[in-house]
Amino acid sequence: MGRSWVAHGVPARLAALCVAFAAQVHAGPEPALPPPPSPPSSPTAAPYYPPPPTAATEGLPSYYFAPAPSDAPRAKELPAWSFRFGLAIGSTVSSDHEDTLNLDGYGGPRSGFDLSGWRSLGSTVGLGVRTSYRLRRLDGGSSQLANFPNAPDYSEDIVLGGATLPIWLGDEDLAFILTPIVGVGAGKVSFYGDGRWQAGPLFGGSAGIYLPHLHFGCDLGFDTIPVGKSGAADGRNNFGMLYLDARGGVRCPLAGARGASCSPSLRRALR
Amino acid sequence: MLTFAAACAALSACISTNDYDSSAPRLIDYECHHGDYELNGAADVTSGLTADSCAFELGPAQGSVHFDLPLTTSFEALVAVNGSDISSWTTQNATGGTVSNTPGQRLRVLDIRVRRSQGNCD
Repeated sequence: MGRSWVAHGVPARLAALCVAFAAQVHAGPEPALPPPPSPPSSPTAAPYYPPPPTAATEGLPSYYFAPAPSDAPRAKELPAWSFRFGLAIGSTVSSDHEDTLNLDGYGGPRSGFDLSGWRSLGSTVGLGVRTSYRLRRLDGGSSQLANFPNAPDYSEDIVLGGATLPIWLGDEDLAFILTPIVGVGAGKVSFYGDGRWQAGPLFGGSAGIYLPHLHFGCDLGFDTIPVGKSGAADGRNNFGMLYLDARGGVRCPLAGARGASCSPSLRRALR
Repeated sequence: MLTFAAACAALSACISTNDYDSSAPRLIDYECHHGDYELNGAADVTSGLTADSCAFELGPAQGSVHFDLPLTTSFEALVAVNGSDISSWTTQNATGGTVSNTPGQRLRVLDIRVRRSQGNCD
């Protein structure tokens, strides 16, 4: 009876889109140039550097003779500040409540929206916060027998907040980011709009790819929020989720790039 | 050989049409909100899967709850037994619109449904 976005392949398509996008950005559109000339082995070997233009190097742009990339200011750290908005879709974690709900004819994925921010604490680690709103609306279906009532819709509303510790492995082009989270979650489940709020501790984390120069990433995450029984005759419930999340936003500014302003990821992506 | 083929064809036709039409989920809430039930013995009404839905608790002494339903073919109850959090649909304790426990058993009735066969193979 419940609609299943998972069955329609929405998470798989979102994952494929993220991977394809990352591969496209990582490959980069820069044309191949011939290797730069080698610097002189000693100050006396040649009177000056760079060497005078030849037929092979004439017409190349001036930056072609710039110092080696290792000398250029290139950020390889987390942004000093990061603010991102994310969309998530996924499945609920196993619980007695969910098992009984499925037996009763209700089932389907959970969606979420989240806002997150972090402050860089070093070259590979930061400290941040994340807040999320998750929801689920499940259609109970119609009675197949005449003179029997149709089912009510099942609804869930969940909010959560927690502290995150993003850990970064990679470079300016593409990075792998691990983000453990600890916090609290609260939610309400109901058939008739009159459920009661329940709260519980939140533990979890996410792992995914992150494109620092675009400030965009995709994560696969898991968290658990055990909350006990939602009704007197219910089993234990859990507001946790296994999810795929796409996040984008602004960074303010790049660590090591003094004076840079916040850069919307969309503007940079379109550049 | 021909007889065997005919029997197979008849059986497959029977299986393919032997689905059930069923009442929708949360029939228990409808009965509960309209007061269309009767408690006997160690039985009580309480909240169910959510705080705004209905369920019935039976036991540990003998108890039963009877629902006033237009029964067709079968009546089933979604129950959890003896404090277990694992539920299942059963007809074991559900007959003629009545769900009952055996003495010493705690039973939580989380939903009920009525089913009617579509096919002609009953």
